[in-house]
Amino acid sequence: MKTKEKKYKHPLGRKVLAGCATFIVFLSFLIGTLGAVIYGRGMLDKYETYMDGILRYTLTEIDGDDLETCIKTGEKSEKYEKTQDVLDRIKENYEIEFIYIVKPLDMDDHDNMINVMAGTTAYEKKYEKETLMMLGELTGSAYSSEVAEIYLKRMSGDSDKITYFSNKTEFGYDYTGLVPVVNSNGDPIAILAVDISMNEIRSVLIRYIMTLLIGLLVLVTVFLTGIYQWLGKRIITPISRIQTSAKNFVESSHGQKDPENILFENPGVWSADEMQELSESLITMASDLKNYMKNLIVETKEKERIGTELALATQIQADMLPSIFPPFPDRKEFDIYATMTPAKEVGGDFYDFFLVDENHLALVMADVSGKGVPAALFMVIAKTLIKNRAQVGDSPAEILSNVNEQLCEGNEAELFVTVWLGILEISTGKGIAANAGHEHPVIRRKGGAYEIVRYRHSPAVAIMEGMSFQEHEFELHPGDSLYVYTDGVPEATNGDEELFGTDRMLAALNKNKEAAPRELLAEVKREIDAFVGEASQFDDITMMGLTFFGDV
Amino acid sequence: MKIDMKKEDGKLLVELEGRLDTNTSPELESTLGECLENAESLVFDFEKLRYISSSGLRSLLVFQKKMNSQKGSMVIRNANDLIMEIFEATGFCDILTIEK
Repeated sequence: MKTKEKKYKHPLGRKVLAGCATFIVFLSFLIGTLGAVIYGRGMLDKYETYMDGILRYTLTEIDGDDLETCIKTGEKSEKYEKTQDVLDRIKENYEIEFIYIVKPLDMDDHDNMINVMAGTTAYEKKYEKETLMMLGELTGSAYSSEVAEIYLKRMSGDSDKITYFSNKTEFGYDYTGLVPVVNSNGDPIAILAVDISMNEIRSVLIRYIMTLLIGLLVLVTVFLTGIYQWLGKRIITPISRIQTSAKNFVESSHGQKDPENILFENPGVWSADEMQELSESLITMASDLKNYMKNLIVETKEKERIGTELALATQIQADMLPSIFPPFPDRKEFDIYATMTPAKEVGGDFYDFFLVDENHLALVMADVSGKGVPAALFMVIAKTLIKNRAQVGDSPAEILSNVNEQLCEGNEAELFVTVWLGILEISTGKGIAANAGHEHPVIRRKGGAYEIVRYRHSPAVAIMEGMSFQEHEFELHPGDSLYVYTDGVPEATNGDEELFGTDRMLAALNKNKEAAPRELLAEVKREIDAFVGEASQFDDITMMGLTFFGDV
Repeated sequence: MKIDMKKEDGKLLVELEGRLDTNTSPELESTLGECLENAESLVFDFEKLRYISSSGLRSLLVFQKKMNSQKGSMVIRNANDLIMEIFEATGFCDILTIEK
């Protein structure tokens, strides 16, 4: 069978790949950031050391007291010029942006400092004269109030410590180091500052990050390609092969009646790992399933055969019970009706009635212990034996005693049968009955109600050899009715495990007590069904009713 | 149905709970089957048994005959009214030893 390849929205390979890529991108970002931070910090440390050296050297070349005077008077002294020289040389020879001395005034956003001195290169002196700084000149808008605050703060506190900060100016990012210049009393009089350009640090950092990212990208591409190929070879391909086999198998087996048509191609996975094991398990499973199906078919056929035979047995059993009513159309002295509803296919209950001779009617109601085939077989023997003995003309006790002996022979299964057996003299209505462990019969006298008639019981038939059975006389008068039944009637059980009981049975009988046997039995069955409801029927339900009219 | 079995020397005490019918009596027969060998006495306690069907009676008959054949005794105790009625109706009370 050719199957169309189904494309999944999210194939396994792509999922794994996307997962790996996301993880690596995240990892690169983390490494890049951490690298930049650490590298940047290292760069700044290096620059700080550099600026530290310049500042400390310059401080030694400044006379604080003299400078204080110069700032006050606005006049350049000899020492001022010398210091100016030092600053110029530093500016000329070191890689710095600016070196200068200012006196912070306030934190306004304008004219917040006084220029004192600034290092100037020869080139600047020659070509950028207009930008040169003058002693005592206000700084205008060169410093923002935030920056001015840092300078002003530096005028107090530890004079030996250098403060570093970064700052965006009109020339780009600067990194500035500040140290106060003190007079001989140790009072700060101005701030010496060195600016270096951060632009270079930034470009170094950017170069670093770019290199890192490109490196990572190459690495990731190589790694992912590797993983993808490995996954494809080791996992995706085997899985999709197994999946295709499994899918074909499922499609060929779905609704399949012939196990030979079920296909399972070997996925051909020989990777010597879990994949191969999975593949082999599937092969075993498929073959087991095929065998199981074959066995099931054989067993189902066997079961069907048994079912057919059981149905046949049920039919035979049903046919053995007289079921044509009225059975004796020309006998007007009585009306008789009987029914059996088996709980399983074949039951152990039976009823029987037959004319022993022109004037004697035999009535049998019996229940074989157990159900199903064993009970049904036993029932057939019991029924046949009883009828045979009855037709010889024996009395009920004689019949049962004789049947008992025969049934006890080789009764290894210890089955037994309870029997109510009555023989009625049709002309007089007088009868003799024996009760071998069976339910008490119910009699309704003309115009009265149905009542249970109790006589002493004998034990059930086939319990033990050599038993004798008691019999007793009874009499039916015209208009009287007799009702006999098996324990399936009083012991019918509903969902709450309550028994139907003889009281409900009598109530059902008396509900329409004038009814003919056929309607009467139907009425009782209806009452039982209503009582039992949805519960399953435990036992066979068998009933027989007779109304005696006498000699008419 | 629940079967609770206690064996002491040659004495076997069996407590049954629930229904002893077609569905449960094979279980009782197979459970007791081997234990019954060489047992001197078998006592059934029916205090918690609610119902016995003819299949259950048949099982009791099997046990009774087995005990008879090995000259042992079998006693049934504490059967409820319904079960007693069934014993009486079927004539089993004549064959079994029933203690009230």
